[in-house]
Amino acid sequence: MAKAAETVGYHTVVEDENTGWTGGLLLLNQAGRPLEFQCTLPVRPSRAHEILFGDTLREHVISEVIGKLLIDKCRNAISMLCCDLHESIALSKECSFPIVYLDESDSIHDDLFDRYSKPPARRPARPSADSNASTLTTLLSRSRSGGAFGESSGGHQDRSRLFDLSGAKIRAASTDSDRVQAIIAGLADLPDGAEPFERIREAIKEAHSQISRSTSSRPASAA
Amino acid sequence: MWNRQSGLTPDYAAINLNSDPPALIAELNSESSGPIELNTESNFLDWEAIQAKSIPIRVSPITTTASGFIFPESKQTLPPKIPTAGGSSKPKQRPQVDPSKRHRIQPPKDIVKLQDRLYYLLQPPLDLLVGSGQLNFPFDPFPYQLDGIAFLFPRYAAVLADEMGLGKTMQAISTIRLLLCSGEVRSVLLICPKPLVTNWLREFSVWAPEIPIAAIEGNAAKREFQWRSPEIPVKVANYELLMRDREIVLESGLHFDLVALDEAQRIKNRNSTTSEIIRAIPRTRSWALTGTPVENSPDDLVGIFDYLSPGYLKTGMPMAEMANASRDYIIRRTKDMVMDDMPPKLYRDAELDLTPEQWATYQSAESEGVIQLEELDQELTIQHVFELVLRLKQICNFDPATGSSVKLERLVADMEEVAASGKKAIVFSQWVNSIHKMLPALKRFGPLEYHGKVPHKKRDSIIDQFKHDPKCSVILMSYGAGSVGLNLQFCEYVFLFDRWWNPAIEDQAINRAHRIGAKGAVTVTRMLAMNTIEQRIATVLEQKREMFDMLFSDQGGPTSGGGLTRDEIFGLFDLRAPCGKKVA
Repeated sequence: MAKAAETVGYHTVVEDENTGWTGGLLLLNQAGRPLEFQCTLPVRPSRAHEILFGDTLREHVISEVIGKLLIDKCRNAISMLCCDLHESIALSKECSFPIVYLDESDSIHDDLFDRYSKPPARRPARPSADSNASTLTTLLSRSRSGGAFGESSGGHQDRSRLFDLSGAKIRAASTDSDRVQAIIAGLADLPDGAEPFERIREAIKEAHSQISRSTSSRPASAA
Repeated sequence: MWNRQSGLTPDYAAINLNSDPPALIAELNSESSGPIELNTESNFLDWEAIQAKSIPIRVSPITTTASGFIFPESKQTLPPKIPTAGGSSKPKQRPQVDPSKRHRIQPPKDIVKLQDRLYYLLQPPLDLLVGSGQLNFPFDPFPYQLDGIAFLFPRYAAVLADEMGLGKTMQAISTIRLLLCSGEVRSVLLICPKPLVTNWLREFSVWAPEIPIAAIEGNAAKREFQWRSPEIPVKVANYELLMRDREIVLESGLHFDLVALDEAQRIKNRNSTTSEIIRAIPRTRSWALTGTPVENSPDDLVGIFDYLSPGYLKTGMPMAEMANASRDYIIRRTKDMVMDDMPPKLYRDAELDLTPEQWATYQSAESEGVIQLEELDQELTIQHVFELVLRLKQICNFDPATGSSVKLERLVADMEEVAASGKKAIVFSQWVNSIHKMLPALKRFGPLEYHGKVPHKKRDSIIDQFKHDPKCSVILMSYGAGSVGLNLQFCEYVFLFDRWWNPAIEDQAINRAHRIGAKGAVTVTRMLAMNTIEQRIATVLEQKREMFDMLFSDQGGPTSGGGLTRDEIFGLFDLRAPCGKKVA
């Protein structure tokens, strides 16, 4: 049986102070031509969410709410997902394909995959399956471990590796090295490894302007 | 009294008992939720741990919805690669480009559905496809030309109104190529003035050689077959032909995915029969190519829009309103706007096929002439060869018997646009006789003459008139008289009606218009009759120039004349030189 052609997904989330968080996923074939596009409606966490999630809100929205939804909605198979936000790396816990991170900065981010791909040390209590609302239990006692929420509790550390994807530097977990290398070999005709993020941002901008046009053209409700 | 030690464990507390234990215990009991007892052995008070209470705070989960679409598979293909001068396709490169400067396909405003708009926005930018070698051109397109292609690609109604010389033909052909390869269109009709039909065929062979194209011509039966032929996706017809074939085009069930008009100002008069026929052609997309969308009044644009989108613009509409309404449909660049993108001198070769009359005369003259030269044998001199070459070149200009001239037809077509845009042109020829033959056809452009037969004392006033009289759009010059000492920097167009032996002399002529400090870029049109002595001369000169450039690229241009050698002149007719050696 012929091997299926490689595909590469690009996922990013745009944060806008007016509209909120909007995520997009663009799937390309090996020549960089678009196969599929998925986009979320804007997400606006409430003040209560901001307080209760604290520093973990960003990761929760980007990976657990938006990223997971987009991957589930995608109808074509994804060989590899490329993201430009740290927090998206957490999707690797949910996906069978490698998640790689666009690493264009000069600083070394060797510990990224440690930080985001390990399960957190402590998580809030999960609601029961038939519960319609999640219930957070506010702990009035102090944590036994004394560590901040979500930190690695130490132990085995995975390292990551840098690859070249059509001129763009991407970082993948060492455990995925062989797979990522094979996938990149199948994407030799991709014109530019980083440019698709620009397209997603343009598409999200277009979607936002359509939303704002449709809301501004709605008649004001009667008093 | 007593002090509670710090570091209380949930179960035990150490109390420094300084007072009566029972009273203390009673006091503590009133405060605690559980009984407190005194352990008399250890003197520790036992009480139950502080009980944690959970307070449920109900917050709804953060959710959202997603929607998307799959791109049609049929639209994944790119055109096949055209061999470039440099050999194999370019290596992958990733230049650091400012995202705002990418040549992206932007959807027009009349596409309102979000999915349709995103379909265009999510295509890779054209500069990326070109840079990576996926989409290649025989010559590197200018950035503004990529913008033009990106403009035309998504549009069902468009006017490409670039100034003459900026490559409207190339942009239209390249966009048609992309549309055909992606399956968005399957049948295209190009309509142009008759002298430009062969030009379109030639340009297609350069920019889209893999696309089958045919000119509708010949007798009625042949034309009908060509009109109905589904194997040819691109058909070229001239305006006059539509009048004759209107029944076939309009009433026999034909439909075109795209109809593109070259020199679209021809239909500005909406009451003309040509306009009526063209507006009635069944089609999906309508493009108009013209360097002068508005010649006399804004209502000219209404005539063009009656073809693009009937009723969209109305006669008498205020100009500001018309400009606003038409803005999204028109793209126009002038040479000034794209000066940074292009060289100061822009060469465009007009490769023309002789008219039937010229061709018959030319073939007869060449074959007879070569026979005569061969018969001369040892008496053959270079002068004999020169004479034949000059006679053939003159036939390439004008047929001596009928006056027919493909070059003049092309010149008139181009001058319409030059004059309509208010610009001026210089036409060079090596023969005064040819200049005189041009005059009647160019009359409406106010032609002036400047050559050896014009008295010297009149020459200054001629130049002055050409410079200041708006009715004089063209000056006809001979190489000898016009090449030296003149300053015509206000001219933006130069036509070489026939070419000189020596490129340096041509350069001098061109530089009458183009100098450092000239206002704008100069477009030089070099006319060349294909498959004739002119083409052979041009080929030899080009080879010599390339060879010199390759050898001495860092040392400037050739210091000698750079013309043809004796052997090369004999070689034009594959003749034996008198020394007995056959010269290739």
